[in-house]
Formats: sequence, C-alpha cells, structure tokens
Amino acid sequence: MLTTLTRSQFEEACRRYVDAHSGEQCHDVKTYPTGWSWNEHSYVPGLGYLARTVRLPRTTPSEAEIEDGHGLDEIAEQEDSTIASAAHEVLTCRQYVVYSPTYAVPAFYFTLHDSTGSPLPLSVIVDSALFRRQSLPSPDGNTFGVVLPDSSLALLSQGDHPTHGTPSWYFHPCHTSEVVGEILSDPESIHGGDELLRWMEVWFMVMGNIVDFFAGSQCDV
Amino acid sequence: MSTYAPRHSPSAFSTPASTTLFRRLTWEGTVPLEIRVDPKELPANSDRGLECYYLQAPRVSYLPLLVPEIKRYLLDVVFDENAARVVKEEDWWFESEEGNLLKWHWPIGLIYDNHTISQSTRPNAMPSVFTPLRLVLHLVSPPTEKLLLSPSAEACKQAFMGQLKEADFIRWGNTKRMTGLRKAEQDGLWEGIKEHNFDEYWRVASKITPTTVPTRSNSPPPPPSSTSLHTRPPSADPGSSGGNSGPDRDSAASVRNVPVRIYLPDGPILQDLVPPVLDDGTMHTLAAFLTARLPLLFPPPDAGKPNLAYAIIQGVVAPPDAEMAWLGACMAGADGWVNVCVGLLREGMRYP
Repeated sequence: MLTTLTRSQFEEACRRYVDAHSGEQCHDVKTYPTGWSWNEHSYVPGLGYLARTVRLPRTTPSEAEIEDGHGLDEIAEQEDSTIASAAHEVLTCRQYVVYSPTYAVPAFYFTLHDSTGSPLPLSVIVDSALFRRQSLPSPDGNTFGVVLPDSSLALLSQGDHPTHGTPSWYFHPCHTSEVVGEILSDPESIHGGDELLRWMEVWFMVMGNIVDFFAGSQCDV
Repeated sequence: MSTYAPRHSPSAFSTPASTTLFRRLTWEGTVPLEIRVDPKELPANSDRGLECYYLQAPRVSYLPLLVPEIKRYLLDVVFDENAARVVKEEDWWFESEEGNLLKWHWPIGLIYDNHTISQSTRPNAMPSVFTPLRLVLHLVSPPTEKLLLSPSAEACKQAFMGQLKEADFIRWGNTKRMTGLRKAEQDGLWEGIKEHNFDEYWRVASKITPTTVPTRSNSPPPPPSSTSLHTRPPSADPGSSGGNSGPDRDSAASVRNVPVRIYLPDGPILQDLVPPVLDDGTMHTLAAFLTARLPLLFPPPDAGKPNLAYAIIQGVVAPPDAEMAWLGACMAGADGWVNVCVGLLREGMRYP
C-alpha cells in the first residue's frame, strides 16, 4: 500500500484521475472535482502537474446580508457603491496539483485574483468561497501565511510554483501521507483495482475537507 | 572524506574541527552588492549621484534583512524630508542589472551564485570572480504576478522556517526535530540569521543538522547497526536514546536523503532524492549525482567526453568527489539546503 508516490507514480495517478473524472459524467460529479488538465514544463521532463481555473463569487459579509434581505435599505443608501459591485465581483482562482519532491505526495497550490488581476490579500483569501467555513485557523493579522498555534511553522503560505517559479499559495503537505495512508489502510475504502487512481481520489477527498472544490464555476484557462 | 562511526551525543562542541571550520566558512561567506535606486523613481530633490550603496552581504542573509540598512543610508544621504515620509518599504523590490527579478525569499548567496550561472550562458560573458552583483532597487509598483507578496522580515522568516522543515523531513522522514524545538529555539535560528551570529544559530541548529565524525578510514561503511543507514529511521529505534545506537543517530551518512536542489541557468529548479550512500555501498559523490541527473552536461566517466558544465556550491567550484552527505553536513545553507548551481563551461575552461 502506497503512502507516498514517486514522480512517475504521481504522473500516472494524475493521468488516470483525469481519465476517470473528466467532467462529462453526471454521476460522481459532486464527489470528485473535474475539469483538470495535465501540463508539462516546456523543455524539462518530469515536472508535470494538474491545473484548472475556477471563477468564484466574491463573498463578503455584506453580500450575505444582501442575500438574506437584512439591512438592504441601509446598504443601498450608502454612498459607497463598491460594496454593491464587490458583491457581484468574480474572482479568478487558478488551481494546481503539483508533486512535492520533499514529501513525495501531491500538494495543492493556487492563486486568487480579483477582476482587475490583482492578487488578493490573505485575509480575503481565507474568507473566500474557496475554503469551507471554519476549516482554517485565523491568520490573526498575519499577511503572508496561516501558522499553526504556538509555532513558527506554517500551514498555508506563499511559495513558488515548482514548475514555473511563479508565486502561489500552497498548503504544506507534511501530513498528507499519514492521512491518506490511514484512509487507504481501511479495508472498506479499497474498492479493488487501481491503487494509483484511488490514491488521487482519496487525496482530493482529504483536501476537500478544507478546499471547496465545487465552489464557483469552471472555465477554460 | 572521512567515513562515519559512532561518536558522542550531538552538540556543536563535540563536532570535529573540520566540520566546524567549513560551517564557519560557509556562515562567514559574503558577496559584494552594489545597490542603485532606479533613477526614474528617485523622489524629487534627491541628492542624485549618491543613490548607490555598496555592501558585503552575508550569503546566509536575505534581501528584506538588508532593507533597514539601505533605507537608513538613503534617508541620511539621498532623500529629503518629504521623500522620507512617503517611502514605503513594503513596495520595494530588487532587479538584477539584466532585468531579472530577484526573489526576496532566496538566501543572498543563492541569488549571487544563480546570477553567476545565468551569466555563463551569455555569449559575451567574461568569467569574472568577486565582481559586485549590481542590483536595481525599485521603490514602487512591485510586479505582483512574479513576486511573492509581503517582502517583510517576518514573511522571510516564515519562508526560512518552511525550508528548514522540509530539509528536516528529507533527512529523517519526519519533522520531529524541527517541531520538537520550543518556539523560542525556532525563533533563535532566525535571530541568529538576523544578528549574523554563528554561535546563536548553531546553538539550535546543532540539534537538527547531521554532523560528521573525526575518524578517517578507508574501510567500507560500518555494517548495519540498530540505526542502519537504510532500513528504518534512527528515531524509530526503541534503543536509540543512548548507548551504541545513539551516536549514529545524527551522522550525516545515516540520513535518508540529503536536501539538495540544482539550479540551472534560467531554468526550473530540480529536486530529487539524494541518498547519502548508493545501493552498492559507496558514498554518493557529487560527480555521481550530477551524472545521474544531468547526463548530457556531465557524461559518465566511461563515455570519454568532457563535462560541459560546472557546479558551484556556496560560491565555490565544488570538487566532483565531494560526498553528498558531507556537503549536507558542512556546506548547506542556513536553511538546511545544499544549493548546487550549474553553469556552462566556456572555451578553455574545464571541470574539474
């Protein structure tokens, strides 16, 4: 039973995942996220990754109030029309599943930009529709990462995309192997057959506890 | 280099003198920087002609840690009072003379060596040593698409800690040594960098960094003991708290893998598993590593072809017979990583 993946296993697992969950199927569509494509570095082999782009609505407390119909009049009266426009703003979220050579598991990287193309600050990211409510500790005024309590070690921070070197946010994958391994070792989770495909499916499930892979709508990159 | 045999419990004081020597040389290494403010961005009434600042920066330090010193100079000498009020360090960013964006989360030594190898691909490059790295300092409009946000010292610290944690994991298969440090100790590592204090840094780093041993011998590596090199992580051994199995625990040759990255001129960063000992029992050398990973640039010895490239570690052309385990213990950066910068050889140059 695999708790970690080699690079070539990761590549194969991703390809099988894309084949199995390509988005045209109606069943399973809310269990496993779809719409991923496999990408490679332009001249160095072995640095491939999954990618997709998602458009998310920008959720703010005032937008939630508008939807509930509370305080609508007060908000409408305010001179600041940016609240109303922000409520309808669409954010662009580029999502990547890359190979972490250190931890020998997949890692989730992403960028989040507003409609002007500016990257969003951490406080907005943490409250965005990308994450399930209450799944992350508060950044506590920190602008560059979400840290574990009583530690200088981080959970979510900035880093360079391993293939392109462009800035991204990523989740530290240091505990991925333990969690996925635990699930895979449960006899009930083995449906027989493809161990690599199952690995990726379980990984998406585990990440899905924090990341809402079904928020927003997909679009072509 | 020496082989590895049992020794006493790890501490900077029982580390062999040669190891300490190379660690100190690495720590004390500096590079010359020339920092010039972009003339188009100099605030009005600035004292032009003086907006260039020279310093010898520690290889193990980071650009955000230099900012206070640069800012003090600019405020004292170049900017007038109005400019001083509006200048915002959080918008500052650095570019090389050639227009390449410099990553503030890279150690300065790596930035310098990476620049050296990038120059190796330019057609008219003169192989020159110790020339200052000429940086352009921009005061506004950081390119957020290409740079990480928030170039503060705090953000830099978090990036540094993340690298140390990864190095810890690569060596031992878990991050217990890093997470086992008290927060004050973790902070002590960064304080050592900020204050550029070797003893303060190594007081904590000696708990998490593998070390070598003083004996020199031509015998093969010791037979597998309870803390054998491959079979399981030393910390999993129930008897590993002391006695015969304890001293091997932190040996450079008993790590699972050495934290190593390869930097190519203008290319992606390569990271793969680098075990300290190969399957045939021999120590993993730099030559074997480079040939395996980049066979076209470093052909195998029996191919009869010369190397097309060279390898720099901490600014020094590294001898091909250097052992990866030794490099990991003695010439890693302060963040735990051995950064191998590969440059192209020019006409008339050879490697080794």
